[in-house]
Amino acid sequence: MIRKAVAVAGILFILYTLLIVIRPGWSASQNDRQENIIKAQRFVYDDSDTLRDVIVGSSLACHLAMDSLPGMYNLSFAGLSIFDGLRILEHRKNPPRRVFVEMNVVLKEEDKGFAASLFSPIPFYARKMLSSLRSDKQPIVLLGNSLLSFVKKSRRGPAKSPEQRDADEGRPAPEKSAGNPGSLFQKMLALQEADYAKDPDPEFLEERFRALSQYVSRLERRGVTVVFFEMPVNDRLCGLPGATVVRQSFSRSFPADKYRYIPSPPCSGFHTTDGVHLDGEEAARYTHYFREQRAER
Amino acid sequence: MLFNSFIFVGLVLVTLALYYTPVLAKFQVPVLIAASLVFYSYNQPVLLLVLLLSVSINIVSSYYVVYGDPRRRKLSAVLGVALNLGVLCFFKYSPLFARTFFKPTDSVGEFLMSIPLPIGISFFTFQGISLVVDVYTGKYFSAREVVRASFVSHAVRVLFFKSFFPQLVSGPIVKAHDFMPQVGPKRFADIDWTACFKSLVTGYFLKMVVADNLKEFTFWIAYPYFQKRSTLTLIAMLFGFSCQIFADFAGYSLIAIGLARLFGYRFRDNFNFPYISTSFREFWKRWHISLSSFLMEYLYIPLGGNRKGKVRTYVNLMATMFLGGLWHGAAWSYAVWGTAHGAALAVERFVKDTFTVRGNAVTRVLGGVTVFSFVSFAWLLFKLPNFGHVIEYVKSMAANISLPNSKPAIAYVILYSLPVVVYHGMHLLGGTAISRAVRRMEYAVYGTLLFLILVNSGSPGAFIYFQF
Repeated sequence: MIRKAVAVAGILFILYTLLIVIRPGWSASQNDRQENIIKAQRFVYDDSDTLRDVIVGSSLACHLAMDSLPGMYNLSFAGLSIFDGLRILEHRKNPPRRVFVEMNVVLKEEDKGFAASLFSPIPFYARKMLSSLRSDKQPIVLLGNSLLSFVKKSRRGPAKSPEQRDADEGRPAPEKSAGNPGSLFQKMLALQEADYAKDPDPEFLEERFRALSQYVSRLERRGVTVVFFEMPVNDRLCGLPGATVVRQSFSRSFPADKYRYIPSPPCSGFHTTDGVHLDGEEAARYTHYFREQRAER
Repeated sequence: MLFNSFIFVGLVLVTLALYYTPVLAKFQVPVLIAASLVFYSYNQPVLLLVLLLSVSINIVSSYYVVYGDPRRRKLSAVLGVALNLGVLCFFKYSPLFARTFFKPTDSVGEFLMSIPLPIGISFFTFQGISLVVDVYTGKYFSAREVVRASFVSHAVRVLFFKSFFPQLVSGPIVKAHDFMPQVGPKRFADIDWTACFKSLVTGYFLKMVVADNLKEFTFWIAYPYFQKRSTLTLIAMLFGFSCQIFADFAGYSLIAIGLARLFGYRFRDNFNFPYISTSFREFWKRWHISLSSFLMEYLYIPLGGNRKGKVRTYVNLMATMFLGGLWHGAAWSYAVWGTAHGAALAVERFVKDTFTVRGNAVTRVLGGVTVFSFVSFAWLLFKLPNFGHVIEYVKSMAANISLPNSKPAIAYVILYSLPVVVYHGMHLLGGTAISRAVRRMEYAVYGTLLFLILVNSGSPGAFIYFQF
C-alpha cells in the first residue's frame, strides 16, 4: 500500500509540475499572508537585474497602486515590518538602484520565521527548481480561484460595488461612510489612537534604529540609494507620540542633509479605512504624489 | 520544535537509526529519553528543569507508594498528586491569579505574571498523576511489576514515560496503565509500517493542509474586525474554526500515534470522529478521548460519579467540566467554556432521566445539529477570550444579514473544511458499497493526501493545543 501511495503521489506531482510548466501564467493567492509569501518568492526567485526601485514597508505601503509605479517592486508585507523586506533584499544578488523605506512601522520587529521559511535551504532550492512547489501554484487555491471566476462570470450584472470589493478583500468600509461614533471605523481609530498615544520605549526605539542603520549602511555599501517616506495616516494620529517620536528619531539617525526623504504631505488631506490604511481612491492619489516625488530623488 | 519542521524530521531519523541499531539494543530507552530531552529543550532549554522537577516528584512518590512505609502509602500518593498539581498551578495559573486578585502595578502581581509557562505542562502533569494513582490503587497492574525495586531503573522508566517526545507537548495524555507495561525491547521487524504511514500521512495532511490554511481565514475572528463581516461570512468562519481546531488537534494526535508506533509503542486513539456525535455525552467520548477518560477516571468517579443521586451527579458533571475547561488555559473564558459543556451534559442527563425520548433518524439528526452548533459556538471562547467579544460576534451574526458576503473567504473555508466533512462522512458510510470502494483504492487516497501535503501546505503555525 505504501509503495502504491508514494507512486500515486509521485505521478500526481510530475503531472502537476508539467501542467504548471505548460501554463506558467497560472497563479493565485487566497489571503494576505499567502500574498506576502508569494510576493517574497517572486522577488527572490526572479533575480534579474531589471529592477530599478524597491519599496519596503508594512501593510500601509501595500496599498500603493503599483500599476502607476512602473519599474518598482513593492516588497511591503501586510502584518509584517520593513525589516522583513530589508532582510529579503539582502539576499538579492543584483541590488536595486534605490530602496524606498516606509517610516511608519519601524518599531515592529522582523518576523524571523517568515525569512526562515523563505530561505530554509531544502525548500528554497526545491522551489527554485520546481515552480509547482511555489505558493502561488497551490492546486486548491487555483481551483478556488477558478471557481470564484466562474461564479463571477456566470453572474453577469453590474460591476461590484465598492462595499462588495471591500468585503471580498476583507477591508472595512471607507472612512467617508463611517462617521458615526459607534461605527467600526471609530472603534478601530480609537484602538489606533490608544496605540499611538503611548511613548515608545526609548531603549527599544534605539535598538530598532540601530538595526535599521545597519541595514541602510549595508545597502549603501552595495551602491543602493535609500530614500525614506512616511505613509499618511489619520489626522488624529499624526501628532501623537507614536508618530512624532518616530519622526524625530529618523531625523536624528538619518539627518535630512545626508539622507533622502520624500516629503510627507499633510495628514489632514487623506482619508483612511481604519485610521492607518488608505482607501482605494486615496491610495491612488498618494501614489501619484509619490511618483512625482520619486522622480526628483 | 514543530512536528512539521525539517529539524524534527532529522531528529526522528537519527533517533530511529540509533534506536534500532543492534549494538545499541540495550540502550533503546535511554536513546528515546535523550531524543525527548533534546526535543523539549530545543525552544525552552531552561524550562527543561520544570519537566525534570515534575518527573522527580513522580519518581519519588510512586516509588514510596510501593516500597515505602506501608502505613504511609496513602500519604505518599496524596503528596505525589498534590505536588504535581502544585507545580501545574504555580507555572500555569499564577498569571490568572495575578490578573484576578492583584493590580497590574503590584509587585506580587508583576512577579506572578512573569512566571513562564513550560510547554506541555498540562499534559505531562496529568500523566504523572495517572502514574501515582495507578500505582496506589493497583487497579490495572501489580505495582511491583511496573515500579522496579531498583530506584535507578524505576527513575529511568518514569523519565521515559513522561518525556517520550511524540506525546510530550500536546498529548495524547497517555495513562501509566497503558504505557508502562509496554516498556521493553522493540524490534525493527515488528514495525507496522502501514499503520504508521496511514497515521502520519493523515495527521500531517490535517495539520499542514487543512488547519494551517484555515487559520489564515479564521484569523479574522478577532475584535473588532469581525463586526463588518456579513452573517454568512461569520457563520463560515465559525464553521471553519471548528474544522480547524479538529484538524489541528486530531492531526497532532495522529502524528504522535504514528511516531510512537515507529518506536514500538501504541497509543490509544484520541479522536473518534467527534463531529458525528448526536449527544453531548457521545461528543465527550469521541473528542480528546485521553483527557475526557482521564477526567472521568481520576476526577468524576472519585467525586462520586453518578453513584450519589441525581443532583450530585449533575454537580459532579459541572465540577469536572469546569476543571476540565480550566485545564485548557489560564483564563476564565476556558472555565466558562468547560462550565457550558458541563451544563449541557447535566441538562442532557436530566432530560434523559426525566423523559422518554424515542431515538429515531430525526432525533439523531436534530441531536447532531444541536451538538455541533453548541460545540462550534463554544469554540468562540477559545478564539475570543474576552467574553464581551463573544457576545459581539453572536450579535454581528444576527445583525449583519444585509452586508456583502466575502466570497473568497467563504469559498476557501468550504474547500479546506471539506476534508474534515468527508473524513466524518466516510466513517458514517462505513460498511456501505462506497466505503468498500474507497478502501480498495485507499492507496490513491493516501497518495493524493501526500501530494497535497507537498504542494498545498499552509504557512507553518504552532499547534493550537501547544498553548495548553
